[in-house]
Amino acid sequence: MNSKSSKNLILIISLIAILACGVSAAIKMANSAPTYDGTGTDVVGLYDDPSTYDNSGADGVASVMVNENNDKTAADNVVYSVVFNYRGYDTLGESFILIGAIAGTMAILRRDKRRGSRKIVYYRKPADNSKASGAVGMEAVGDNDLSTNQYKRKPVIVRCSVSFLMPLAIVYGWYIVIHGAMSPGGGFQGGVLAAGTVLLVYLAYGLTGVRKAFNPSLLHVTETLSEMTYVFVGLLGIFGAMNFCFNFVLSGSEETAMIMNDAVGYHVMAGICCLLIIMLEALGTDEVLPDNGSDNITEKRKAVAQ
Amino acid sequence: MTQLFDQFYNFVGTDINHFPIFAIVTLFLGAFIIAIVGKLNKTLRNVIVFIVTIIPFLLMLSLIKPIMIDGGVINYWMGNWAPVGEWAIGIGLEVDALSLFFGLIVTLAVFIVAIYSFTYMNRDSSLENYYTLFLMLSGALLGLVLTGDLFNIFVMIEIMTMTEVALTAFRVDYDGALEGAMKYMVVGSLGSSTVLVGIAMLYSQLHTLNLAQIAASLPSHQNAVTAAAFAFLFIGFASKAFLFPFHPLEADVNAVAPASISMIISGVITKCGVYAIIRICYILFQNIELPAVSISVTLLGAVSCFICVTMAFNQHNFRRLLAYHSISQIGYVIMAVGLGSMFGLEAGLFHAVNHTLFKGLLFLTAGAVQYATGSADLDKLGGLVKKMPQTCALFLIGAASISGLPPFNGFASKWMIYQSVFEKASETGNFVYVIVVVVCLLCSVLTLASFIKVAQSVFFGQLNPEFNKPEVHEVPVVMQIPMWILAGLCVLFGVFPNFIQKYFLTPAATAAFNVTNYIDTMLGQGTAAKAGIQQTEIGTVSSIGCWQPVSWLWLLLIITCAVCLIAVLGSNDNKKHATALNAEEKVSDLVGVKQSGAGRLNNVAADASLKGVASDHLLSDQELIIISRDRTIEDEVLAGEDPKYENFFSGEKSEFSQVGGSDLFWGFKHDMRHYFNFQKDWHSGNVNDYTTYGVAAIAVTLVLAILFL
Amino acid sequence: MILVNYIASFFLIALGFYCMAVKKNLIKICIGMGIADYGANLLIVSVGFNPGGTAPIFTMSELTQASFFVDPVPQALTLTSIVIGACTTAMTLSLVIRLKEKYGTLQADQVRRLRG
Repeated sequence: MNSKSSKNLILIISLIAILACGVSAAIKMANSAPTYDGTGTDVVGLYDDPSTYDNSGADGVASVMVNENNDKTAADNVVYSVVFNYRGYDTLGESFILIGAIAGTMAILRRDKRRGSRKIVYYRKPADNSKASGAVGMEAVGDNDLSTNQYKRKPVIVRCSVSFLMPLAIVYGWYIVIHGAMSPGGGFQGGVLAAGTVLLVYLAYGLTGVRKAFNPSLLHVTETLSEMTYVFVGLLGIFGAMNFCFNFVLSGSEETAMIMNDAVGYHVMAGICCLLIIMLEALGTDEVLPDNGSDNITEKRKAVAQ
Repeated sequence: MTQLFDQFYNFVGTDINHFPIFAIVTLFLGAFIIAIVGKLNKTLRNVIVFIVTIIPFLLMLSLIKPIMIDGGVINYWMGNWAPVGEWAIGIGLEVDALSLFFGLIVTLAVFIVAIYSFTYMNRDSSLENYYTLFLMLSGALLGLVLTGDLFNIFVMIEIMTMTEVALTAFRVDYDGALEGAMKYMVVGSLGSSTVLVGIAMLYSQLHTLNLAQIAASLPSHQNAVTAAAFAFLFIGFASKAFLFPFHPLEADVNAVAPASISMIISGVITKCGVYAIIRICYILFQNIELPAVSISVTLLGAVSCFICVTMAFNQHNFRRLLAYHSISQIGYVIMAVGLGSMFGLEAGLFHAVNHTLFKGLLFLTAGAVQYATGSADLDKLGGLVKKMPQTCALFLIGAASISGLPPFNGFASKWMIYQSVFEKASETGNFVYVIVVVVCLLCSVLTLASFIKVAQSVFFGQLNPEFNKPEVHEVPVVMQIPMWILAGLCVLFGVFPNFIQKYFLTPAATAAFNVTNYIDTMLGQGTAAKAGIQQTEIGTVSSIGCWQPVSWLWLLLIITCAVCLIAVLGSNDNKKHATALNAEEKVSDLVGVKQSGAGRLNNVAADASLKGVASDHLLSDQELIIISRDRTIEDEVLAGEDPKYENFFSGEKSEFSQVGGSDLFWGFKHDMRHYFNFQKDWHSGNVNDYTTYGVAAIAVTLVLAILFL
Repeated sequence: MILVNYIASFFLIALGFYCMAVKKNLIKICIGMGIADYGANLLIVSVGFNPGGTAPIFTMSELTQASFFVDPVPQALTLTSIVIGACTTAMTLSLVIRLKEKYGTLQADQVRRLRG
């Protein structure tokens, strides 16, 4: 016990010290000059004539990036330019992390030895609540006992709204991806939005529905291919006698960053879908209809009528 | 030969600038290709892994001449975003001799581990994920040491952490694999967050992320914020090198990860932490000259060294013990790096590469033992020298290297470390360095003792009957080749330290001190001078003192005497043992067999007299006959056992009673039990406690940095 | 004004560390990791803020002569580190799922077979 209290004491003192140092550093940081003082930059002038920039008074990398943005890249959104042009290599590394997370999650959650690889444990509410067993008052039902389409669906309102929202989510996600160059957004944000469809399907149709709608191994292969596209676009720069990630098709509104952006968009969408499916599969449970096979909704409707 | 090289470099021309990025991208592309086609065909997968791991190694080798020998620095701006004015807007790779030195370590280790994995991992499933993660880990490590951008270092560290966690947990059914991975994930994310905070604070003050530019503008922007940023970055990288408060993690992770990954973790990932620490202390903040920083870093190394070497004493798991030794050796490296002298840095770098070699070798032998027997428990293993003679020889080479016995590499680098600490102590007259020297020597002795224990527990002693079966045999030759490569390098580096020093250590150490060159290559000539950075005088290179024939002779004499003494004492003991127990041998054996049959306690009646034993156990003649029949059967089972290894046993042949890791130094451990209990209490295995230590380390470093910088 | 952000971010980081060091439940530890990460993200994105600035996008209908941009670089960095944080969380949660199956508990002080 003695060591436990001394550990707590150490923790409290350390946290106070970190906070104190942090706050003193914060005051110092708040009083120092901003990292990019854009007040002197004429942004309207830059937009009208991109070549009229002057980097002599630059006070940071951001200043140079904003000044050169319209001249050297085809995007209006400077953040997008930073992500895919100036720091494209970081973005590459960032999407490697996603692939690593997917491969790692697949490795950690694989269950080839102990159970069948793709099997759902179905649960249902017992006919009489008194002999409740299992995890949450449900009883387990083998896969074989079920005829098709007997898994429990959610209420019709949820299903209808999901059917309505699903295409909207995908279209909205890809709208964000494609318009990343001129409005807030880009590959990552849009991809994540589009990947939300997996959760929508799960909400309405359960794991059985997710399994019918998506093919995780295909998603994994295609997202890896899209990531390879990114790398090859980068390598094309080298074969064009320039450096890695060189922006070699810059003309008007087109640049390599667009291909990279779309590749990242697809990669993130497929990757997050894949990740979600793997984690949902790990739970591996789904609820089925009660014994008598009648629909929940009709029962409730009857109950209301009575 | 020379002509061939010239032709090659003429042919390549300036395209040699693309080599670093090619090396990084090859590894990552390999990972993707494996992710797609790895499931289809095993041979194809192995061929791809072989190709994508050997290409970066060859590329790094081809960079030795322009960088190490000619003293050049490769700078490479991604997407041709060259600096505008004095602002580096793009991400640059900057490969100086220091980066290349660590790049060589990374690629060599990755190549060796890839070959080893082909056989070692063949009993596992889902291998395409293993190789994908492994190649991504290697790519991240290589990217980390070659990059010239601070945020890129963070990204690479994150890829490293993520893939390392997944690989640690790769054998999910192995006991404790998930636990080790979880602990590393939690405390590793603490380290990553601190790195991120440090980067944010530096960016707020300097408005740039390029290492060279930070190095150029930091001296004129020293304030509390940059001091705090230094503390955050230092602790973040120290957590990746598993230094003092983070050392339990390394033990947890290495004990449960596949042995190939253990080699990468202890051999390369810790080196990347060391690399980052050298980079921030020598190039970025240039504050290693300050006595406060120098003494703190050296003491940190000494503390890591001492605590881990004593922790290793208490271990019963082969790989856990190796893991603690790994940190103790990293402690040596950090100790030497913290001296801030040219020779100290050389010593540290030399010990770093040697550590990769011998600790890699030891982990691979541990993996081989585990592959053959399925166990890494020191209390269960024993007598494997008869089953795995080659592995035993390799282990002895590794153990001799890590304990610093001549003529292996550990001797040369430890000698250099002692010499550099002596020089620093006499130069500054600071009492701290005297303590550090004592700690150094003590740790070296304890390391040797610890490895004697391991050798006794695993390879000598009595063979556990459980492993006395034909399935336990020498590992396949594909697993032996990497181990022999490492062992050969251990000997080579130990025999020719002056060659290594001339072509690898001196250029790398010079690069670490040559800040102006680093800045000028990246941002154009004269930038450093404009920023007011003076060319620090590069210290004169002292030669290694280990090639003095007289000292060699003395050492060899002492070692020979010691070995003879041990041999003589051992044989005496054996004889006495044999005569004294001759009479009782039979019955005590019989009793042992009987008791094992009855499933009772096994360790009795060793020194009881014949009569006493017989009466105590009320053995009738009939029973004796039955037991002796059992005994003959037992003898057949235990065929091939040699009584000459049994000097530690109390005459019982029938029962396996290994003198485990816990017993060889039991007296010492009993005397020091308060210390060991204290350590055990603090290494509680609870992830909350490890986080607490990490937080405490951050706090202490922050306070020290703000006070002294 | 921006000082509040800075202090809040350090407070969040300390809170996250506290969570990781004190909470026994592995899910709560995971949340603590998230909080510390968000603190760091908040710090980065606040570093780039400049009072009165607009988003660094050249949308002509909204820009006037007097308008100026905030720093785009920290926003890009934050984007990167958010994705990294999400991946970390996913990985940790998958580890937690398997730990729960294997050890039958989520208590951190019972998940300690590796010690000493």
